[in-house]
Amino acid sequence: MKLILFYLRKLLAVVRNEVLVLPSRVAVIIFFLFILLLPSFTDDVYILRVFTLTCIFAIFAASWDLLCGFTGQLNFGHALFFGVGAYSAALMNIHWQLAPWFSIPLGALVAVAAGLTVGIPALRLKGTYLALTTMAFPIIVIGLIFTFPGFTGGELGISGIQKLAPTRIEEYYVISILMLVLCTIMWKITDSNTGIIFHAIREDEIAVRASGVNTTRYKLLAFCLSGFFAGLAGGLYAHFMRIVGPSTLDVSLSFQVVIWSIFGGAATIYGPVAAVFFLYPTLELFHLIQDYRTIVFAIVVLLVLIFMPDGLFRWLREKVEEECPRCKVRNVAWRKTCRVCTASLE
Amino acid sequence: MLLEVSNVSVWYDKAMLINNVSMGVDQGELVSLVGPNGAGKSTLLRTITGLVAWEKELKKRSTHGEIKLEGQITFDGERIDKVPAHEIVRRGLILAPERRRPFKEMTVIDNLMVGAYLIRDKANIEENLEKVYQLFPVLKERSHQVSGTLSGGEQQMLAVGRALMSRPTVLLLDEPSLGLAPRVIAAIFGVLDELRHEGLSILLVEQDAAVALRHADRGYVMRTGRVVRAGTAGELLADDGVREIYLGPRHGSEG
Repeated sequence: MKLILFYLRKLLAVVRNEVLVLPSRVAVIIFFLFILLLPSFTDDVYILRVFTLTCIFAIFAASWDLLCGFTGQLNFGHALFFGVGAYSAALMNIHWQLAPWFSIPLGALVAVAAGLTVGIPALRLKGTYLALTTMAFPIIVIGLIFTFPGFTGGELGISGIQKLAPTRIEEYYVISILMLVLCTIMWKITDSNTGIIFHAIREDEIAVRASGVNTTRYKLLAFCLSGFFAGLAGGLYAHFMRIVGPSTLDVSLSFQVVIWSIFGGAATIYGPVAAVFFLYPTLELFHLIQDYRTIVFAIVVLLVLIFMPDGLFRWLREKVEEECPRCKVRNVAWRKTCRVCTASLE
Repeated sequence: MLLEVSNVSVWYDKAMLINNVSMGVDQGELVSLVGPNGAGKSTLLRTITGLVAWEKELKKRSTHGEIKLEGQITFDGERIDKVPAHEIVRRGLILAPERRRPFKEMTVIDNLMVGAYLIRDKANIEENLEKVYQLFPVLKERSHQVSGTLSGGEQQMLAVGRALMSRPTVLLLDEPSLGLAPRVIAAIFGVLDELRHEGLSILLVEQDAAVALRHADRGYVMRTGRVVRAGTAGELLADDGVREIYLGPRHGSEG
């Protein structure tokens, strides 16, 4: 009992000293709590469905950020990984009766293979050329799907895929908790040494080479990691929707993810995730104004891009937090002295 | 010789950038490679560090023309002209590239950490970092500043510091004085002198022949892809021909 109390007090101390001092950390905690407690506020199937899809796309957006935001390998065909992951999971489930626990990770591995197929030619290309080339890949796969309708379901897609979990609430929990875990992993990757090298490759590949880094390997690693996470998102989508069609490879999905990431702030991981949680439900909400839905949405996105070119959530963070000029620790913007070195912040 | 370049030639498409160059750096020497614009100095450094070979690999299937490499480079008794660039760094031949090339959006400390990529041991990294900070105290002051906001001189110090993070056997510097004030150049060369006294071998590429040779043991003068003069730094400084190489032969009654 005493031990439990001791740890509780320790936890409280950590919360008070490390979490409550910064709005961004508080926001993350609130976000986690919101995700985990959502089903206790509502059991409306429609709302749960919207948020489950939001979680899936959050993983997808974060995986784009890992590749394009950090490593700077502009990918305009990110739906390839999503679609390949979804189709592979679906096919394995239908033909080999693999349970979702196997079909989803295996589908993600197929997406890794897709990442390598794009990654290897991409090593020779830069900027616009790379972006245009990557755009072609999902279109090629759609072509393949239409060529073998017997195996892939053609335009109609594959239906009758096994459910992820028996009830909507369980499905919501599986996907949302996975989303929290996977996004944390991605954020950790970008925060690690590997992440520093990804970032450095975007800045100046020759200088990274000159520091003894095999940049080829790291660029391929970025493609594979990104493909893996996007493939997982695709597999989850397949088992959640229980139908996979060519729309999972659509050009519009590829661009959707770019819009999400830029809107939230590329090269942050949290930006794209927050952007999906902001934009996807908002777009659903706009059902109320059905006729103007897309135009209002476009205006919102454009305004953000014009006035906050670094992304909405990065902009917000800069507003409420500032760096101490002396020790570079982040502080709440309304503090007068730094919380660590007590230097004046005025 | 520790680093030896023999009969190296490089073609970019039909242009011969380096024409049968042989040179070398011995243990503990500071060697300056000087010459006017377009002499092929930077290309030679990039050839030694394997960056030209890498570029060749990348261009293999493009339509922009071909790169051709000939000759032999040995380092520490082993041939390195077929070794990939990142592997050459592992062997201790480290370049601080031309125009410094810092990772502008990253902090000074992160830049240095990329330089320490090859070292796995944390304590060792810490030690090298201390050493770099001791050589360039300003980097310590600015360690959490985004490197794009540093002045040109500080960025050059960062580039040298980044190269020093993996403890090179030979440090290759490409125009450290580029676009810097004389006082800053003096500070950087002061550090180079210090490193040389500690026994580090340095190959320095410079346009400013006077400064470069004053701090060097030996020197080579390049022009249009060839080594046209070689000798001790003192000899080259006293050689009127070197000036001619830069400015061309005298005409009429000038000077």
